[in-house]
Amino acid sequence: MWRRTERIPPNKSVLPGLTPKATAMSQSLILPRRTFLRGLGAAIALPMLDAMIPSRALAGTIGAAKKIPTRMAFLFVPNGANMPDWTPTATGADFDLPYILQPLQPHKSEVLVLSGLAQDRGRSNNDGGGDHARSAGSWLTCAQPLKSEGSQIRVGISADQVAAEKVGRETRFGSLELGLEPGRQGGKCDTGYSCAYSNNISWRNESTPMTREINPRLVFERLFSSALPQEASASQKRREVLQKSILDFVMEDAAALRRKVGGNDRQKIDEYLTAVREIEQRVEQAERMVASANPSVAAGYEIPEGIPESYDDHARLMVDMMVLAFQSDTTRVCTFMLANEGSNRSYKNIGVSDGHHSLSHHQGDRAKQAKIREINHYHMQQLAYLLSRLRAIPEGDGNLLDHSMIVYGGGLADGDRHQHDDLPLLLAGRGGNTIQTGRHLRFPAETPMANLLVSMLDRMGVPNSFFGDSTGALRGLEG
Amino acid sequence: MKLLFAVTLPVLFAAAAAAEEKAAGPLKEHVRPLLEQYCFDCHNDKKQKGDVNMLTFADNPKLEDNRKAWEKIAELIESREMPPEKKPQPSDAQRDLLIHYIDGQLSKADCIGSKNPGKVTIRRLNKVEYKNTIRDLMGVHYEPDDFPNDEVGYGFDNIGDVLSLPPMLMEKYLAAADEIVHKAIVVNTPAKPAAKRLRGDQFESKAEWVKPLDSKALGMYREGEATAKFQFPSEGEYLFRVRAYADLAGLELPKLALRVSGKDVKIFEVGNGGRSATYEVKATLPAGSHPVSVAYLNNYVDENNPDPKLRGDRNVYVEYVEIQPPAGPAPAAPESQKRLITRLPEPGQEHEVAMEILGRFMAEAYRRPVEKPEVERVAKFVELAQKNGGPFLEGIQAAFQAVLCSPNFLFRWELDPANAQPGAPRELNDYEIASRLSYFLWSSKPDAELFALAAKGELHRPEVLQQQIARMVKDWKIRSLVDNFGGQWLQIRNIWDLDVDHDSFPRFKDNYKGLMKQETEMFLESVIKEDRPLTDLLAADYTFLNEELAGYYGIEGVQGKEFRRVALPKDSPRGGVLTMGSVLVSTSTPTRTSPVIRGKWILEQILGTPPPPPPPDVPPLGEQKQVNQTASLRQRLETHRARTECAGCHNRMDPLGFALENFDAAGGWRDQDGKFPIDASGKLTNGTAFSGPQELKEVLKKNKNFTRCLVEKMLTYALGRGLERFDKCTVDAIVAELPKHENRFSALVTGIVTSDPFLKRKADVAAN
Repeated sequence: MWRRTERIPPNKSVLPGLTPKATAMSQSLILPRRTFLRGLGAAIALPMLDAMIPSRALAGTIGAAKKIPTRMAFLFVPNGANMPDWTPTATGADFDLPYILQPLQPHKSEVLVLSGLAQDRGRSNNDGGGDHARSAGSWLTCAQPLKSEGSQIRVGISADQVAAEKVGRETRFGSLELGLEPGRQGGKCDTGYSCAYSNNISWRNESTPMTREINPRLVFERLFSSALPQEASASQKRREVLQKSILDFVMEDAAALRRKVGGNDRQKIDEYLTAVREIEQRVEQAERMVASANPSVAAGYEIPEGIPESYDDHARLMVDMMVLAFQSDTTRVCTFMLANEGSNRSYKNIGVSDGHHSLSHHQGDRAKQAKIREINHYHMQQLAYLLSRLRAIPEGDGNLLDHSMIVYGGGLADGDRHQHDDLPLLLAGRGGNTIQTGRHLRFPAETPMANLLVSMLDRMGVPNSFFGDSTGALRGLEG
Repeated sequence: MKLLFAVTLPVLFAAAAAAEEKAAGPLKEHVRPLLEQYCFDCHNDKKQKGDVNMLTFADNPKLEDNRKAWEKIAELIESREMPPEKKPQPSDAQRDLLIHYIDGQLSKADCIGSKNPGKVTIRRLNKVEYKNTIRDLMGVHYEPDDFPNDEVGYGFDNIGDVLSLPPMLMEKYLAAADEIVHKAIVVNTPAKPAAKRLRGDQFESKAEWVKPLDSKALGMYREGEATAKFQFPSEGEYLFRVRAYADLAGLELPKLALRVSGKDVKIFEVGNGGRSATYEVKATLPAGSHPVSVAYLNNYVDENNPDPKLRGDRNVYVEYVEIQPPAGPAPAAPESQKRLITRLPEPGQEHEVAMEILGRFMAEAYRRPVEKPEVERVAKFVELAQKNGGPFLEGIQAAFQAVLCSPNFLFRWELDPANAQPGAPRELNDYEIASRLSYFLWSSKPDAELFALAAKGELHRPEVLQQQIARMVKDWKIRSLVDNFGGQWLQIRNIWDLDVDHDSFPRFKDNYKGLMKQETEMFLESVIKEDRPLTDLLAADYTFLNEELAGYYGIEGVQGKEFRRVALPKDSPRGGVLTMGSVLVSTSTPTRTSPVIRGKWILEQILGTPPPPPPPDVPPLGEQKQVNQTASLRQRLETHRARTECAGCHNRMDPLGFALENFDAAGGWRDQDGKFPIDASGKLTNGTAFSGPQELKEVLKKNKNFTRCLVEKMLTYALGRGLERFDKCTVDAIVAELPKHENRFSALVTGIVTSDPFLKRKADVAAN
């Protein structure tokens, strides 16, 4: 039985009474992002990366009043939405909730429905077909995915990873990537594009997707098993020491090989080096006992047994994992794909036996549109569950949702026409009282979705006005 | 029209080869006018859209001089991305002419002289390869269930460029290596079984002056014995620990006998000033249940003695008797360990033996000879472990673990020698060939025989390769080629993730997916192992079934759960992959068939001639044009095809799919679709008419594109990279060779393995 226990004690580690602006971190001592992005060559040449770790994390800040961190999450749904049932007719605070948004009724004051945003990099732009792959690949990267079945996987770093580079060094995990569907094991996902584009929304850099974990048990173990107190035997301790020497050893191996190769080979070995480096940092952080982390919130939680049969249970377990990770401050950045782009799974539990993608090409067929709308509504229920969980956790003078920014939506509007503008998007949570929720905002047509990401990154302490095709911050979030 | 060009162009080429002036002929007469008409408007001296000025190279008949530009032109014309939508469009025939001319000229240049073998990006071991390599290297079964699925490119999950390594996977590699080495090697410290304790109150006595206290200690107030039964697990030396205290009185200390089966093991004098102490004795005993007793031997009572020193009452109290069983024999070393650890060092030999063990292990793990300094580095782990007080084998475990996490193991390297000329083709060395061969056919590391041939420098010789292929194809490990190549080629690996709607198909049970997959895999294996003609894949007079699946297919006379080869009746529509449940289900939606999906699948996977993607922004069928839902699927699709922008491709896809309409979305046979009788007739764009699955199979068998498609797919899989235009001459050569060997499977594998892209690589422009 994988049933969870519902008792989750409130996080006692945070102190109340903080001003919202305090979430932004000290900017001193932090190297510009570009230094890191220049490639691993530069990173290795720099003696360690300590200079890039914010001073607060290094110092440990015990006793100092802790600022409540802002969390950021992106929930992705594929194949577009039945937009007439998504978009409220009224704008402003007095907006209506069409059928798809109805599950959000209890959270109406906590969400901001964002209409009119476009993701131009998902469009063909002379690259021909493949809108599904492009819509997912560009969603958080705001970069045009390079059309390739595999010889060159290139898109761009995604917004969540930009944030993770910034705040990730303060938590045990820079970011968390969750999903519900495994990748295809063969065959094609979308015309001319490798499946990597359809199956991932989070990109560590332009060529490395951050693979999703789909098994809740593995997520739990990864996040908490080593953090929870347990008896360590002498041989276990020897193993830990050993792991460090192994990391050193393989780093040397990789660096030696790196000198002998060029081109794509070099890029692959750089991926390896990055991965090892991140694990090293995690080990170091675990030793420093990152001050804010409070993994004990996970102690009362029953370890999930694996992937449940039902979509409902699976989705909710994953949501629970996200909530635990945020609550314990194990990570502050998360992406969650409720299905992969182009997914053709059926949702029999809500009476939809046809495949989702097949249905999305409804060609105006009312019956098919009605089924799409049901799927959209159902996915929205999963968001509602997440919001209610976050809201139930007190934090500071508010709750965890108040200190979060949860974007929900996808990279296609009408799935039949592969429409890349007027996207179904909404933002939940007040981002540490910097966002005035409870409204429906309509932006001028073709406003880049990148502007939303820029505004969010700003709130994560990354002032970066040149992300993707952005033309600046999204106006009006503050109210 | 298409046929005309296929005939006329080679003639033109032959003429072109005669002399260079003549070579300009076809270019000038047939090609340039088209470029002029459709391309030069935007790509000329004055206007250079996309930075392309075609006038600078359009008149040079040696297309290879401007290879990149021409390749791009052919690609864009083929994908219909050029000319742009709003500009005048060439006819299909004109497009074909341009593509054929460019491809033909370029591949002619490719196929003479030194060919470009291409370059394969280093390949990370994918999930299956990792599992198999661990199996063959360590002799340990490790199931990498926790690893994420590898991303897919070009239809396969072993493409170097697509196999990425996110931090999460690196974590899994570290954990896996730890688990694997502890499975493969059991450190030889005999486990000490836990001691068992008999509490004082567990001893029973007939004497009323021997009885337990409230503290559970056994009070012995006069001479007497108390006994408890104890199960001695094995013969051996047991250690007894008796915890007792006493009231002292008189001149002697109290004497307490420990007895097993009534015989004294030892008589203790309980001293320590009367305070609790532990009294130990060892005894060798046979296995079995024996009574363990304590006996008080010398009671003393004299409360009235005038000498106060002699006055008193002597008593003994037994708190417990602890029995420590002998250390059992050391846990048996697993088979893997005997192979990996050839000998254990005498004191002082640790370094020497470690070097020996690690040298052999690393060469196998890295799939190449290793050098002494490399091994020395790894041997440091053994020293480190021993310095920390661990046994020798724990050091070896650590060293193995490091090797399994090294990029030398996790990636397949083909490092160019220092003297290689950057950008020029170089021959792979024999070890590199061994790995290419074994990962191609077995999805695993080379075995001892391949390594031995590589060491002798003989593997690259064509006749040796031929022998090895023959040997490897017969090996049980060839099942990996079936599962990984076959499963991905036919796209049936995902079958478990596919939904079949039970309301629409009540006869279908979910476990049929597994049965159907097994049928296909056993069939593919038979074609490989029996070296049958490739066309048997499309139509065969046998298949593999068990009772359940045969019943579902309506084939009689198969009983029992076991799968076996079944000869199909002459009129059976089954036989060959197209009409297997696995493929039919995989190419359907959960509730109904889709002739479009099936047709597209045949074009892509069987003929290798995928239709171009649907034109962007096709307006949806207007409401007034909506076909009545009561029309049959065929009628509805015909309405769709009536639209000119759809017809071109759907005329190719739909007829192929319709021929399979007698098979429903769950792979079962049907004569009706709802209330409509099935019409399985169709006509190809070249006019060939056919009806039903049997005729479809015959049409496909005769289509030359089928073998070409298989060559392309398998070459992609074997190389781990997508094919480039310059690979065309390799593909052409293999395709041309096949009929000389009756299209047999072995000829396909041999053609691939002996090709330039398989045996050579373009040397890297070494990084500085």
